[in-house]
Amino acid sequence: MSAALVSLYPLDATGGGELYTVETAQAILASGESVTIAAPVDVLPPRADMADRLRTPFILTDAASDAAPEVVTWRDVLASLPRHDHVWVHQYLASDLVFDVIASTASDQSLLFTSLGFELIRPVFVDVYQPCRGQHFIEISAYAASRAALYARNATWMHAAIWRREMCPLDVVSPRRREYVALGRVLPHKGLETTIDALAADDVLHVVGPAPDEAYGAFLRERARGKQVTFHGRLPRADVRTLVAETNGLVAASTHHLFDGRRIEQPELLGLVLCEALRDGTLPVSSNVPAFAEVMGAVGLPDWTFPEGNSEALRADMRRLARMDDDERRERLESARAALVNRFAWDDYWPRVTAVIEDMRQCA
Amino acid sequence: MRVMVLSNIFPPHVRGGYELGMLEVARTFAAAGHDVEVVTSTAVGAQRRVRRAEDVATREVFAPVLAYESDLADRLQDSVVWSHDRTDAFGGVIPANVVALAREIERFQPDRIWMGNPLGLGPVGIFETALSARVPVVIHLMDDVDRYLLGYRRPIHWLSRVARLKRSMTAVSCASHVRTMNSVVGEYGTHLVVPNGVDFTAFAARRDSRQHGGPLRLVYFGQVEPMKGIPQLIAGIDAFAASPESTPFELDIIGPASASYGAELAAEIASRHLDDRVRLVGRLEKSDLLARLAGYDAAVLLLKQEEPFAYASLEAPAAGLPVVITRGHAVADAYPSDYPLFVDDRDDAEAAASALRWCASHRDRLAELGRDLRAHLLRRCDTTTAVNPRYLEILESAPAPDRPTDVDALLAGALTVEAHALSINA
Repeated sequence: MSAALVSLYPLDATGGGELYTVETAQAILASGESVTIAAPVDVLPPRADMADRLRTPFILTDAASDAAPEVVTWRDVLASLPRHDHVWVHQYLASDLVFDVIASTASDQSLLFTSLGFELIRPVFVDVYQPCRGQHFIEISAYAASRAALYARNATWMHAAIWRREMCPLDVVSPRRREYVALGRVLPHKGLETTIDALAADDVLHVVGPAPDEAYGAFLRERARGKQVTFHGRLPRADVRTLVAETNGLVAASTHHLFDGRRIEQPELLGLVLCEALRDGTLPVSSNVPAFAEVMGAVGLPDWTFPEGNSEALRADMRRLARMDDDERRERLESARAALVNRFAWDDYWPRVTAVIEDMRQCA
Repeated sequence: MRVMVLSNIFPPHVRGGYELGMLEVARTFAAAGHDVEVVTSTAVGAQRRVRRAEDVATREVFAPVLAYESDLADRLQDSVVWSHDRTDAFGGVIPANVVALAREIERFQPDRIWMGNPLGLGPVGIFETALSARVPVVIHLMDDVDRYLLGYRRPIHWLSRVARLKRSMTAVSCASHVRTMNSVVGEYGTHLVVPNGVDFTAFAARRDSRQHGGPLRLVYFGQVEPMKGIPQLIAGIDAFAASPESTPFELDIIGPASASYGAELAAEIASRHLDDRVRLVGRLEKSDLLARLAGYDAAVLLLKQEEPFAYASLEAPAAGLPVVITRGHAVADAYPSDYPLFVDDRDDAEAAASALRWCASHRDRLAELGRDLRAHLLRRCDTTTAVNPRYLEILESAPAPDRPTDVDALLAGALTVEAHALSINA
């Protein structure tokens, strides 16, 4: 058996979506199947005519091989699909190339779709997509699956976020009690202004991640004036893990309501950083956007969510976290980490996915 | 076994040798004791050219195949709607035909599917639906299907899908170059070559030409269309007629022509002052044709080199006629390599005339040449002794697909990509 993992969004960045695709490939490999990954060199336009689409450059990688990735065309990617029993499209709402995959994949192949949040063609997809047996929407959360149910009744979901071997040993005695960390790309939907507003005078916030939106970056720096906020930018992974392990908690304040007054439909589809915080040994505190609420509930931490955009509520949670004694902290962390290992592991992700597909096939 | 024979067109809709060949294949399977049903397109209007084959259960379940109608194509070539439909018919999916085939499979529950030419029916949909039956599917190739799949595409890109589907099918090509031509868009799981065959015993023995005086009697039979080498035939005959050592001759051109080409051809013959010697006979019933062939001295078939394997190139020798024939790929598979009436370049009128002059100057040897050619081809291409046993063997041994396809997914996928394509152009 072999799988083709086709991302319709470049994998050269380090965001959660890109990581999710790479980890999916690793999960398939770990289950003993071969997998090739195809991803565009550049961000795709949502629509292009056929000739332009076929010429679009893609990077094709055999995930099990040490060979250098090849730069090929979309035509080549499509031509490679017949040899795979599973064809999996990540970021299927990013570009109308998804329709080429649907045309190119026969019904003796499993065709899977997963959105990782880049959804420029969602309106046309909602209008034209016809659901069927053999095509499966394996979304990354129940929340994401509920959104896909609009066009695919059989949309389902599967959690995955960590590898079991990467779970850090738990050390609850030495956190810096007034220090917090925020991880991920510094983008408007992350709601970092809420976190900054929640900081007390002696609280410290470490913001880690690239800041591609200059206007938002400037807005945050102005908002943080007079507070102990450090914008680290991108850090090596080992440094991030150390920082997470040593701080009192990770704060994720994603929101539908952006700093400039805009409202977006979905700020998050899962919440990888919440899982990574637990993996690295600290407690997460999150806003109650649907995907975050789902993850926090799944790991037994529903009481550590705050209403999105509500800095007072977040401040209260941060105070509660700072006052938590070591025993309670250990107890909550151990319980949440056990749930994480049990329900969010990449290690058995592909077998879980194939079992769900098989169940759906039997039901059909 | 229950054997479903699938063909784009089938008697009473006949255009050339292929449809009649499929009829013989169906009869072969029935004669071997199988329960045979033919599923094909609905013949309408002028498409009903011959009598139905009453001895073969035939179900006209598919939409009429209009894509081959030359007069319509000429008239409607600028029509967007015609182009859209024709593109789907030759290289895509026609949902109505998918549904029809799926229902026939459900009703008949075949143990095997023997597929002839799927062009005109939406070949991608036909492939995928046939494979949903979970039984061995054999495609019998006498045409360059891949060329159509490559040439008839709308923004929808089916080729990878076809390449995948071909892996689960067994193919039988009527010539080695047909196998090559059909290995462009992916490869079939197994691909065998079995030359076309005819029943040599069904042909009346040719009379010895020495018993006849009079003009050299030549015949062309088959589809009367430019792609079959008719313009080259007229040019060659004209060159032959103009040569000083030419002997009197008659040429009968037998077969159906579109109205537009028939008129054009008649005018061409008249303009060359050949109308007293070249006759457009029109289409004949097969039995009448076979009986008539024995009265000629030689056949002239200036087919294109890529011609898959024209039945006429076997039927003429089966009737004892030598054939002036293009040295084509399929012919090379079957004819003796030292055969004297090959024309290397059919566009060279003088080359064709030279072969005709050879016939005229060796008229006393034509019967012997025809007999030798017949004996040679009998060993390879006789249906009873050589070809049908191979078909039956392949029918028995073809493997079932590892992973069956799903008609629901096919239809949903086709509708999705069609809706997207239309939304772009809306």
